[in-house]
Amino acid sequence: MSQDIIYTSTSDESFKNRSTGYEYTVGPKPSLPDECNRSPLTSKLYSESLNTKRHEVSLSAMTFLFQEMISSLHKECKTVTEFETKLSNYGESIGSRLLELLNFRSSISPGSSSRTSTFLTSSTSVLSSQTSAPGTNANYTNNTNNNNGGGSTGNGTRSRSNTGASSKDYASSIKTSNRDSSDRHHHHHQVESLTSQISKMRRRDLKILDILQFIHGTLWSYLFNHVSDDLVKSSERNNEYMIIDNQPPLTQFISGPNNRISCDYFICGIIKGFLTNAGFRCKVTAHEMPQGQFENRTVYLIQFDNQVLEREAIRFDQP
Amino acid sequence: MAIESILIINKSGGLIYQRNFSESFASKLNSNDFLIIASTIHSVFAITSQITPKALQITQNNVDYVIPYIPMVGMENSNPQQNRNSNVPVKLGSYKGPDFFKEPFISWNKSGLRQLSTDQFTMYIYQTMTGLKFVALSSNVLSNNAGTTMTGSIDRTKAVNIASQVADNFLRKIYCLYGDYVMKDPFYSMEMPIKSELFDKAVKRMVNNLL
Amino acid sequence: MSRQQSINSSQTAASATAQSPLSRSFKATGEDVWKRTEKINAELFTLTYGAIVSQLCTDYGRDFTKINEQLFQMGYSIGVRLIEDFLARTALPRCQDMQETSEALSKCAFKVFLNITPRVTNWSSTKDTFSLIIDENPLSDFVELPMDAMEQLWYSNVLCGVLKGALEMVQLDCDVFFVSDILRGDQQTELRVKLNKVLKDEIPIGED
Repeated sequence: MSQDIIYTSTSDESFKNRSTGYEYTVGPKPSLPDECNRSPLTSKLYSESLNTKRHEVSLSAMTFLFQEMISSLHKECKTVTEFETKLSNYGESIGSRLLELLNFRSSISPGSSSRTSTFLTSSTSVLSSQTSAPGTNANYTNNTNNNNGGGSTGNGTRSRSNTGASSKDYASSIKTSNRDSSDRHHHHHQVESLTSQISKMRRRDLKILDILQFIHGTLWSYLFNHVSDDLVKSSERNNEYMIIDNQPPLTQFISGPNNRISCDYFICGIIKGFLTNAGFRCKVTAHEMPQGQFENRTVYLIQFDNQVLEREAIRFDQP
Repeated sequence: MAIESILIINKSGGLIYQRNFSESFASKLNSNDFLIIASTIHSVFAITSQITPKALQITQNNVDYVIPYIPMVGMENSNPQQNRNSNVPVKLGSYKGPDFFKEPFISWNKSGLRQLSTDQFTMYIYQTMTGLKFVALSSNVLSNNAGTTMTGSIDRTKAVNIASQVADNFLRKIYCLYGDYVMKDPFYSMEMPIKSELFDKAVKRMVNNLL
Repeated sequence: MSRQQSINSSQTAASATAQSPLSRSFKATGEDVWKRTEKINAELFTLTYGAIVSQLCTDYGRDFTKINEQLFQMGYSIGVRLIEDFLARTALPRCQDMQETSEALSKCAFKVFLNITPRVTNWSSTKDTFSLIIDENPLSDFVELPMDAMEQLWYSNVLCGVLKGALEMVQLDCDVFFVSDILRGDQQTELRVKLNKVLKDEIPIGED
């Protein structure tokens, strides 16, 4: 099975099968059955750091690649739904990787420092253990332990107070500036590995609002260099949330409002992959809602599965 | 410079874009007329190029391929009368503002037709290295205002030059918009007519800023 | 008149006289234009390309020859479009020989789009073929090929297509291909560009 895999670009399926992975505290294990059959070529990836390089490419390069991806996909798809689903799948494979990567990077203690990075090694390994138990009891125990051991981070505390506030408000805007936590990984100097700078892992987000805050702040900053323009809870259905982008950068050159929205399903996929991998099963759709200046303003509507709400009620609601 | 109409002609002489921006002579032409105009421009352009060597012998001194950069041609704050939306910074697609470029540049069009003036209108042509032609039709006519005195005619030459440089700056920016809103649109097929409403809007905004 | 002379001289030599905008080196142009270009996280770019290659591996049942072709084809379609963006951005005059072309590719094109400047080397004696050594490749960051792919897949083959398409649009008929790739265990990543011929008939009338 392992030979069927291209590491960066594995689909979700093959990803999950690689459960005997890499333990970031220990390093690569030469005795793993999979590794024995591999070539003697030593993997550089394992020795590289997970830290962000903070490299950039031009928006043009990205949009040309995106453009070509869309037009090939468009040729092979017969219906809009098929197109949107396939495009979303591309995004999902990316979102599912980003969950652990960004969690790691957000765990760096503010004082510590670092340099070059490659993130996929650790992100894959942690992913495999993560995906195994979404929403099960084992998962809960696991996290409780984490909580006890790790203590609460500043981010966690802030989000929690937020939850209290917005549960009273209907359709209240629950955007906060997550900037400090998301920007944390932009400014650090240079050490070898990422793990050496992490004294305790940032706790995994267990509440809907916490994980949405993470997307609105950290994920968006990572992808587009700014937090998303709004995060809103639906006043009509309590499993619906909206993340709003006033000027989606990737689709800004695509003509035809309907075409443009279809192409936003790439971002829907990233959000979905991110949430699903964190144990929040959901459906994500894109909708056009122009407002004033912002003619391409896009709303990403997240509809959580009922099981997610039920779980949250059992776990967190006071009787 | 008031722009009446903009045309884009592909490398084989086909018209792929045409918009009018006012109720003028251009709006009286139908789409078929414009197709004919496009292929005529394409041919005349080539003919001009053929006869250029002779023309060069006579007027060689005036030939200058370097187009000076004229700041903010067609940009939002180039027109102070217009109400600017102060709270939202103007975004230029994949370009970091405030302007698309800020250097003088060299015209790729060395021997072809660059400018055509009549008593009714002036036409400017910008050709790219890939063979695209960007054409602007303007109703501004310099000849009548300039008078007949000696100084008048010198001023006129100057004015004609400046207008031509403004046009080159302007049309290169339309080319920049083309790079963003046409080339990066997955629903555009190469060499075919441009139907992007985003490109339309961006071009229109730039034309309006030029008034 | 003097300006025209400087144009002519710079057409023959890559480094031209001062003052004329033509004399700005490719390096300076590339860096300037890069500064005035909107940017995006390179990791998103890497991941997106990874998702595309991975999907192709699934679609073509790991037939890497076909995948290479498909990547090249995608690159070609990108290249014929990307050239317009590049020319609008830089307004570079036509290169007079392959030496200039190689500089324009490395110091302007790669710089402006990917923020890298591959080294130009391995010139053929006829001066029509050269190599670009890509030390840092944003397409293949974090990538490691599985055994079966290591022998056949040119992971970054999209680049060859892009160069092929873009050069063809400025009337240079070239072959562009990888000769080695770090991902395959080679010492370096080397992209070869070979000029077949200048498509003189297709150079837009009015340019000369």
